[in-house]
Amino acid sequence: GGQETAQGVEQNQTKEENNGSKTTEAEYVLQLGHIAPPAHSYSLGIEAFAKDLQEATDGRVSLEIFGGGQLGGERDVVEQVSLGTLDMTLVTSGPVGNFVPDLAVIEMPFLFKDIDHVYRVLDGEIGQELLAKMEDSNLVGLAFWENGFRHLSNNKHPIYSPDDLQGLTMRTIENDIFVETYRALGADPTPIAWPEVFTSIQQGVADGLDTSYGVFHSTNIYEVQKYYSETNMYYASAVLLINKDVFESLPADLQDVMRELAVEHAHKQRAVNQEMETEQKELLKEVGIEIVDFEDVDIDAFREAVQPVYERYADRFGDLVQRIQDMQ
Amino acid sequence: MWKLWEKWMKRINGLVENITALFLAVMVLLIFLQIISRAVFQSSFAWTEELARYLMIWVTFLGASFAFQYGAHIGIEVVVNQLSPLLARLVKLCAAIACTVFFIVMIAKGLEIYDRAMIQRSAAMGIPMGYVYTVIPLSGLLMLLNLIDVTLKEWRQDSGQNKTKEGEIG
Amino acid sequence: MVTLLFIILLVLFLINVPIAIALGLASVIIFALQGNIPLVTLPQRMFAALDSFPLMAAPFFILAGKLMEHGGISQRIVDFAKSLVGQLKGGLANVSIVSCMIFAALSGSASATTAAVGAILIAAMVKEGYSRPFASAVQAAGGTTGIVIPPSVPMVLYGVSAGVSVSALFIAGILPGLLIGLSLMLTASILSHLRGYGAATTGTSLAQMWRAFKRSFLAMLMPVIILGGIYGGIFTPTEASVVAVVYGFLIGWLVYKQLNLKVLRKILVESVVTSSVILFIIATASLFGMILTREQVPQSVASWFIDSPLSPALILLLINVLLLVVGTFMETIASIIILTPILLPVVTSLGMDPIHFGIIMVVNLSIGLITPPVGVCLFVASQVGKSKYETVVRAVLPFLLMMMINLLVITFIPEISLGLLKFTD
Ligand code: NA
Ligand code: NA
Repeated sequence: GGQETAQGVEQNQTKEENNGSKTTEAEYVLQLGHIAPPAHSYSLGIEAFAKDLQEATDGRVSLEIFGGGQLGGERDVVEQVSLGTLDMTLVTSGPVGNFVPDLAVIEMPFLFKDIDHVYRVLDGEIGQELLAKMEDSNLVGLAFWENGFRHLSNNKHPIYSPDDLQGLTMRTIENDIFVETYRALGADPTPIAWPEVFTSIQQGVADGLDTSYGVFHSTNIYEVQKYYSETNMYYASAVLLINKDVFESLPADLQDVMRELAVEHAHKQRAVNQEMETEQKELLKEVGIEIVDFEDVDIDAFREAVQPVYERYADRFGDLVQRIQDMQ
Repeated sequence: MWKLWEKWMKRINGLVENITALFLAVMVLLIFLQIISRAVFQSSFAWTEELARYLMIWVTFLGASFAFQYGAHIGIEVVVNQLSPLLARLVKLCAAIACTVFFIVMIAKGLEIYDRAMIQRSAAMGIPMGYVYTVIPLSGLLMLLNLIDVTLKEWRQDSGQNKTKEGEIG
Repeated sequence: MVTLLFIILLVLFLINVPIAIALGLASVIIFALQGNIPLVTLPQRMFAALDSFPLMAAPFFILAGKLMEHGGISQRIVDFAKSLVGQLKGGLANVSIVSCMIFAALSGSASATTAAVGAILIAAMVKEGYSRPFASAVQAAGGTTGIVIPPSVPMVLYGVSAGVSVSALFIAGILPGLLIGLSLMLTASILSHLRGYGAATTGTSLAQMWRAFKRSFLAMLMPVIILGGIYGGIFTPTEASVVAVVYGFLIGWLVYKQLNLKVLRKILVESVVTSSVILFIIATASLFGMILTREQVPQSVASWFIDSPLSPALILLLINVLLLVVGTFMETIASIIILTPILLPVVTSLGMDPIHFGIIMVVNLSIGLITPPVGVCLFVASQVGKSKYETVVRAVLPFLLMMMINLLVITFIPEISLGLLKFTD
């Protein structure tokens, strides 16, 4: 499919994994689809959430979880939830941007100073505004979970500043802001569909790409890359979504429990994800990936280089870019 | 009446054939452009792949409509071929009714998704997805028309004309 | 519900509702009966199933095959094959199989391979005293290599539904394809010898061979360009299908001068018909697949096999029998789309490589192309060879047997499929 996201964690799932237990006694059985493999922080977070939800509602609500892209890719599952053919999903924010254009603001390049800046924005007023906008698409956004900062990997040399990207062919998703960002950084962007990324990188159709630690590690892309630079190029959030009609059909007390638990587990899942990133960093170093730490990256040069992207696209999001930058 | 119907079906199918042939050629050009622009000019467009993919979806649905004229849709004929002419006719009628039901659902639900997907934008070109979805109700209607046409033709000629098998592949 | 789904599907199949529509309608009926999933899922799933970039290789490889069929490439391939193996026992029969194998390296489909080569060679074989059914049967059997030797449309579809690399599948198909081709040649030689078909033509000199090779050089260059382009990092497997189209078009138009606008329109329309029929099955099969997923059928099937006391070898054998039976009655593409998600979890839990399983599946289904009643290569060969279907069915039996032996060998010696892959890393 087109948009990939927790970036094509869609790859090597052989669809055998399904953690949902069929609890027919529950009053409300909700089906949830996501694309992450079993060991991804999405899967761990959702299982914990489902367990707590069942307990907190005395078994009145239970989730049937279909992971590993069994029910479709990310654009696909968001559409299903919007149409009401699926109840819930945990999905990377990118494809949700097709439904709620303003949401794409959080994926502007080098927008956030650090992870705390991200959390302040998403857990504050701006985050609430963005979640509220989803109602127009028949979606209820319960909370912002996490995929992680996306960093740059490649096969040529370590990347410290935009100068190191000159002439590199970088794989990107088919989205004008990302394409323009790479151009502004001096790279040659080329959109490649996710299912073909691994072999394309392996064979050298592209030199590198951007991924979060979780995706870089769990999809084995690292096997065909040499360098990984913590550039915090942009932040990939994840949204826990439920169909609006389904949500409103729940009694008010259950709605409240669900909202509370969604936020509570957002913090838990983010913590798990951060912990996993630290572990993944160690594992990657062990197998010989040369990692450039965030401290060694010339972040000001990157921010400077992508100014044209802001000049061209910031207006799309009204005053959101300014407001987010002001919260640094 | 029959003459008029035949004339219009020919016109419609001719037009749809030309459109799909054109779309297929454009798909080739788009992806070729993507290769050339990357290999030679070191730059790529964000929208070529998406447009080619949507064209393929249009070609599929539209092509599946006039494919009836080529007898190309693959079915299991062994059983029907064993039946007496009268029984075979009855079974064929049942099959046609089954197809009709499916096409009606395609049209009705296709119109619904067209309507509801207008709020969704495509990732690269930013066009409302509703427009891309219009091919589903449209092709549902075209398939229905072709099914009726083929069934009527078969009834009129009653027996044994050679169908060209175009759609089979292995 | 799942039982009912299969019953409705079977009834629709039996009354000759097209497979695509039967899959869609059976699913719609179940959705309507269950009542918890709105029917708008129909257009949604159909669209999403087709919204895939790698899938685009299917129409492109079909188009490329037609361009070569009409563009004068087949005749040159046959001439070259003649110079290579024309002097062997059963000369033309071997020429036909080698031509099929070469054409298979250009085309993604078996029926196209059978048709393109058969149009030239069946008549020639009959002229040399081969029986017409035998000539057609050789052609049908040789044509099956069209989907085992890369490129291959069924491999593209398997790759998409199993989530594995299409280029790895292509590499894995090379040795099994060669093995099948060579063993078919052996069979044809023995039969020709026994029945006194086709006295060996006069030996070919190296100079003649070289001339035939030069004449067919541009055609023979194509697989080199496709595989070389993929492994040289110039384009992806899907993009390679477009390179095949452009190359086939340019050769047929500028060099062999056999393509003009009128022929081109015909080729495009034929390709649209062929690919839309296949892709439409994929679209509606996704509804069917969605019901199976939500009812957790693949998991149940997998755990049934795993909990059973059967040994892995026996399970593999059973799966082969199942695939052969399905291939006997069903069309290749539909079988892949329906069965991959159900069987893949079973074999991966046995420790089998998904690439190896893909090859097993494709070889199984290639056998299905020459088993009656639904054997697409048999249809094409009997049509092109102007012989009665039943007589071709009888004549193809020895080849069928040989292919089953091949299947066993390929199933139980994974290295035949996976060996070459070790060199590509
Ligand atoms: Na082939
Ligand atoms: Na068969």
